[in-house]
Amino acid sequence: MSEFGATPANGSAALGLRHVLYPYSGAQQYLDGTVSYIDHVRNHGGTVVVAAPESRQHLLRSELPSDDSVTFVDTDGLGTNPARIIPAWREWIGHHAQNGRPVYGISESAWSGRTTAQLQELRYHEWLLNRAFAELPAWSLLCPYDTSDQMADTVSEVTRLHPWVWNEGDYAQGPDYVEGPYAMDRLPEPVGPYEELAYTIDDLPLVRDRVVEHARPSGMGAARLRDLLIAVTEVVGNSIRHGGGRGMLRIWVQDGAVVCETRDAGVITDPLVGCMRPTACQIGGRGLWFANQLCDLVQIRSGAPDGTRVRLHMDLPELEKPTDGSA
Amino acid sequence: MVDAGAGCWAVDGVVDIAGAAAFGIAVRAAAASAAANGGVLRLRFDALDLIDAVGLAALVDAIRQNLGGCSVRIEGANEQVRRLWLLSGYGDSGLPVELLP
Repeated sequence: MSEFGATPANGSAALGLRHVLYPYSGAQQYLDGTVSYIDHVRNHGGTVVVAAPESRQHLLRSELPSDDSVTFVDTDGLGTNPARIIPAWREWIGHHAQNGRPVYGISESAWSGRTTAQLQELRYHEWLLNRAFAELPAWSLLCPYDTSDQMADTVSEVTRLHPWVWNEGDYAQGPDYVEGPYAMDRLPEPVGPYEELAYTIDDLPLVRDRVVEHARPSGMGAARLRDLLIAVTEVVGNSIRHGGGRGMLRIWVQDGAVVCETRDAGVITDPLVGCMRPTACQIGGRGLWFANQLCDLVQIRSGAPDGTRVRLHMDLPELEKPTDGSA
Repeated sequence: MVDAGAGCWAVDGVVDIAGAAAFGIAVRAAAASAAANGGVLRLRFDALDLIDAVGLAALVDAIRQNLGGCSVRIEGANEQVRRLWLLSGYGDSGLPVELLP
């Protein structure tokens, strides 16, 4: 297999991501699998980019010799929104591919302590990784996954997202991988009261006023409220430009977050919408990108004949977050 | 957008899809004037409440069409505006635009 940034020996242009799940239980198994993967990379003259929680980075650092074959990246900026995973990896891989060595990645997402909505989107974006890199130079991404505190059904759902598994120091075909199309989870109705407002281009100030009226009494700080107002303005603007010129806004508070949902008649066909960093010369395509970068979670459901629903979640401070919510 | 004197224009309120076109026209006129004087186009964003992606695009389009060799200095740009500028990809655009707090 050729790797990102390297020219294949046969001169062919190999493409796509080798997306590899490594299920493990406990620190020792974590080290066994990830260190064997890193050894594999070194044997192929490659370099590894590691994006993992600090505790895992600390474990790995203690086992690895200090050389330039492994780079640890700061994942703090990713926050909780899984839509930031793909652009982050595009940036990390693109940067490290510049030295001409094959590039490999290790990515461990936090699967515990998330709401149902966050888990739904995390699963989708893990699956979307396979699509996002399909036309780019080949590279390999190992996804360690701690199964020790997960239900069997949850583990099964994650294995379906990965075409490969890391097994005893080598790649193996993922037996449970489902190529697609991806079956998006249905968005549940709000739990509790919500406000609904029909809008056109003339109602943008009113839309923002309504968001402020819900967010401010809930304790949202000024900076995050400004971010939410931008995101809402973007998705409402999309309704006006692409969704028939009008839409319906719903606002409510649930699971420690302010949730703003827009509905319109437009249909989004690009599964990677909002996941690609725009270029300076690009016309449009920044609205959902902004939303993903500013909000803690963005859920998009789109298709004929129902149109498009975009649900923006902005977490509130100092509130207990449930781990089994249904937002 | 109002004339704040000394070649400076103050932008206030909201620049979103409803106002972006008018904002673009105003910036084009101001940029043409600045270019004719061979100087710097100064915009003050202190009183700007919000500018969205369409508003930033209108600003960039107007600058691209009317710079004529002068540069743009945006003063009073809050942290959010500076962040959105970078997120938009304009930070690497090569445009002679400077955003200052």
